[in-house]
Amino acid sequence: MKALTLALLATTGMAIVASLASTPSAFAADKPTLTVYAYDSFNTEWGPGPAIKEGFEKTCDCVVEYVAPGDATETFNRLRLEGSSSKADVLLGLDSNLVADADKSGLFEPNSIAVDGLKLPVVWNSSTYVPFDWGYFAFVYDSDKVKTVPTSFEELVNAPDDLKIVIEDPRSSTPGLGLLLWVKNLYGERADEIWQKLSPRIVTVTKGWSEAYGMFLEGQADMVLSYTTSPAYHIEAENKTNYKAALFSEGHYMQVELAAVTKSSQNKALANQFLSYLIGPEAQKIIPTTNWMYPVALPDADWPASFKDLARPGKALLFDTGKVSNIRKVALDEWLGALSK
Amino acid sequence: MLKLARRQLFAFGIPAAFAFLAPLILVLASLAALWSMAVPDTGGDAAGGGFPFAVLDDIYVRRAISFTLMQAALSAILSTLLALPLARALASRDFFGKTAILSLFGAPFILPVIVAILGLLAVWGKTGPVHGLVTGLGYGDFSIYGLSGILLAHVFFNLPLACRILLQGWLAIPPEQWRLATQLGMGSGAIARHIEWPMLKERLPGVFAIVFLLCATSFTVVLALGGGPKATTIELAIYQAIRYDFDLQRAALLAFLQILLCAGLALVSRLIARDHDTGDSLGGAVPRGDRSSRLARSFDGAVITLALIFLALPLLAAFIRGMQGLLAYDLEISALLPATARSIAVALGSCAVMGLISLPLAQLSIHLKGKTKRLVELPGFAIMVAPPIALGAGLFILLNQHIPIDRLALPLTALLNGLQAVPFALILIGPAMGQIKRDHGRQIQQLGMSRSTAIRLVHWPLMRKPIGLSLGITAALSIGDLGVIALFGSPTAPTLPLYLYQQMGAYRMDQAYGSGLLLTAVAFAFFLLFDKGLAGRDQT
Repeated sequence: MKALTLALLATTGMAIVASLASTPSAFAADKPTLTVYAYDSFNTEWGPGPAIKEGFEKTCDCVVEYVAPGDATETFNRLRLEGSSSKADVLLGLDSNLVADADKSGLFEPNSIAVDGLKLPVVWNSSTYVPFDWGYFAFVYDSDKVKTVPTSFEELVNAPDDLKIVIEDPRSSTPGLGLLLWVKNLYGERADEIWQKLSPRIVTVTKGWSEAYGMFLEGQADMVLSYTTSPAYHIEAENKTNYKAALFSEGHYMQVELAAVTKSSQNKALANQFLSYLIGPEAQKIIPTTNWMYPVALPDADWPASFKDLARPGKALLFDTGKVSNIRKVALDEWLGALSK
Repeated sequence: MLKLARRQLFAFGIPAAFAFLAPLILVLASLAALWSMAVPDTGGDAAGGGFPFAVLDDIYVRRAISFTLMQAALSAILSTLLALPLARALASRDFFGKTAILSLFGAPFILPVIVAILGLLAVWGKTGPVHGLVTGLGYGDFSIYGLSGILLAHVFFNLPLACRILLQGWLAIPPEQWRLATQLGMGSGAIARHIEWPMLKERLPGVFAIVFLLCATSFTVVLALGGGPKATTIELAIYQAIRYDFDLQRAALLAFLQILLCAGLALVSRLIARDHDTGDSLGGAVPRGDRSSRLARSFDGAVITLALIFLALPLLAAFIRGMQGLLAYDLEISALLPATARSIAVALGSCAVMGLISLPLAQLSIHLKGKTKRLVELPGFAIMVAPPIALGAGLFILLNQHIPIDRLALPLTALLNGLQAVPFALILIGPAMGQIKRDHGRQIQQLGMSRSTAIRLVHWPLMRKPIGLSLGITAALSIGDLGVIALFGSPTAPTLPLYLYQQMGAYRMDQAYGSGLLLTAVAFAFFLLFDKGLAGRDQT
C-alpha cells in the first residue's frame, strides 16, 4: 500500500510541476501573444489553423494562440460569456447570420481593412467584420452507398424514412443555423411542418460540425449537413471521388465566415495585422485545401483543381443580415418545438 | 447546541454551524439568483412577458420535462425488472467467482460515466459487434443515440445497484423461513407468494425511487447519447441554454423547475423508501430447495451469464480500445498531464469540502435528539434537491456579472462535486459515529480522556473505514465529473473528462479511448488510495 501511495504522490507532484511548466507565459514572455478564438475544426492538424499560425508568426514577431471552445456559435457565446474580461484579441469564424447579435453584444471594434475588393457572391461592406471564406450549405453523401439522391429539398423532405441524416444544433453550430435559415427561407410559414417531416430521418443532432461529419464518415448516417465544398477534401486528401454534395433545385443557403477584432483586445494593431494576413494571398491559398471553403481573394487560376470542378448551386440564398436576428428567434422556437416531438 | 461548553465552541460549534449553514445558504442564494433572473424586471429586454411560469407554455420546455420523467420511469422500470431474476439467481447460487462478480457490480460507482459510455459505444454503436450481429441477421437498424441509448446506459449503471439492494433483501430473509418452506414442501409459486413477495413489496418501491431519482438528474449520459431536442432532459436543457444559447433566463427557469421537481421526487421517495442496511453482507446463498431442478439451474446460469456479458463487455471494450489508443497514438503529454493535475486538484478540493461538511454534520446529528435531529438532515436534503447543474446555473448567474467564471471553474467544480458527495458520506459516516457514541461514549467520559486522545485512540481507529470509503467515493466521482465542469470549464484549461469530451467532439475517438483508460486508472487509484490506504486493509 505504501508503494502505491508513494507512486500516486509522485505522479501528482510531477503532474502539477508539468502543468505549471506548460503555461504559455513561461516561454513567451518577451513576445506579444495574439489570442484567436476560433471554432474547433479550424484549429486541428488538418485544418487551416497551424499553417496560418506559422505563416503569420513569421511576419509579426508574435505568438498566435488559438482557443477553440467548440463550433462557431459556441465560440461566439464563450466570448459573450467572458465579456470585456476575455483575453481574446480576434474572433474568427463568426457567421454572417450572427452579425446582428454580434453588433448587439458590443464586443467588436471597427477596423481599417478594405473589404470591397473581395470576391463574394454577395455585397459586403462592413467595417467591423472581415470575410475570409464562404460556402454553400449542402447535404453530403457517399455515392457508393446512397443510390437514390434527392435533387431538391422537397424530395429530401419526402424521401423514404430509411434515408438517415445527421444535422448540427442551430444554437451551437453555424451549419445548424444555416439549415434552420435555409428551411425558413424556402418554406416560411411551413417551416414547422417541414421540420416535423424531416424529424424521423434525423439520427441525431450534434453540437458541432466535427461531431456530425465524424458520425457520417463512421457510417452512422447516410447524409450529413455540410458544404458543397466538402467533397473537395475527399478528392484532394484521400483521392476519393465517391463523396458528393446533393444539389437542390430550390437553391442553397450560404455562409460567409467572418473575423473581427474585440474591443477588449490589448493588441489591436496586431489583431488588425492578423485580419489583413487572413485575406492576404498566403492565407487565402491555404484556406481552400484546409478549411474546404471558397476563398475570398484568390485568383481563379490559383484554385485547386478539385475546387474548379465542384458543382455550383444554381441559386444562392441568404437573408438580409439586419433581419436575420428576429427570423432566427422565431425559427429556433419552431425547430425546438418540432424536433422535440 | 447552546448547552455546549464554551471551550468546545471552536472545536465543535463553529464547524457544525458552518457545515449546517453553508449548504443551505448556497442553495438558497442560488435559488434567489435563479428566481431574479427567471422573473426579470419589467424593463428587461426578454421577449414573452415576465410571468415566471410562462415557460410552461413553451412546448420545448414541456417536452424536456416529460422526457425527463419518461426516461427516468422507463430506466427505473427496466433496471428493477431486470434486477429481479438476476438478484434471485445470485441469491440462490453459490459458485466460484461470485465475489468477483459482486465487486464488478460495484464498479459502475467508481467508473467515470463518460468512460462507460465510450465502452457502450464500442459495443452497441454502429461499428460495434451488437449492431453488426443484429443487422447481419436482418433485424433492421438501430441507433445508440436517443432514447434507446439513454435507457441502455441507465440500465447499465443502475442494474447493479438495483440488484445489490434486492440481493440484500433475499439474504436478509431469515433462514428459518427457508427451512420452514422446505419442510412444508412449498413450491416456487408458494415461496414467491409467502416469502419473497413480502420482502419485495418492501424493497421494490425504494429501488424504483432511487433509480428514478438518479436517472431524472443524469447529465453526462444524456449529453453524450441524447439525440437532439427529441432526447433532452431538464439538466441538459439548462446546460444548453447557458452554453449554446446564452439564454440565462431560460436556464434560470429550467433550473428552478428542476429543483422543484427534485424536491418533489425526494419527498415522495422518502415516503415510500425505507432505510436499508448498507452492509457488505452479500456473500453466501439462501438455502432453498425449490430451485434445484436442472431447468431452474440453467435458467439462473443463463441470467447470470447474460448480465455478466452485458456489464463486462463495455468495460472490456473500453479497456482494449484504451490500450490501443494509448499505444498507437502519440500521447499528448503536454495536454494530458495538466488535465490530470487539474482533475486531481478538483478531487482533493471535493474531498476537503465533503469532509468539512459531512463530519461536523454527522457529529451534530449524534448530539441532538428528537425533532432537532431531523433538522440536521436539512442541509443534506437541500443538496439532494439541488442537482449540480441547477445549483451551478444559480451560482453561474450569481457570479457571472462580477467575476470571470473561467477563473473559478476548478474551485466551483470542487465545491459542487464535494457537496454532491455529502449525502452519500452521511450515510456512511453518520451510523459509524453514532455507534462510537453508544459503545464508547461512557468509557471516554469515565476515563477522562482529552479530546485529542479520544480522537486518536477511539474515534480514528473506528472511523477510518467509513471516512476512507467516503473520501474514495468523493474523489472518484469528482475525478470523473463531466457535469459541473462542462458548465463552468474553460476549453483551454480542461480537466481530464472535459479533455476527453473535447477529443470525442473532434472525433478523435482512438485518443479519447486512451484518455478514458487513463481517467479510469486515476479514478480507481484515488479510490483505492483512500479506501484501502486510509481505511487500512484489515479493519473491521
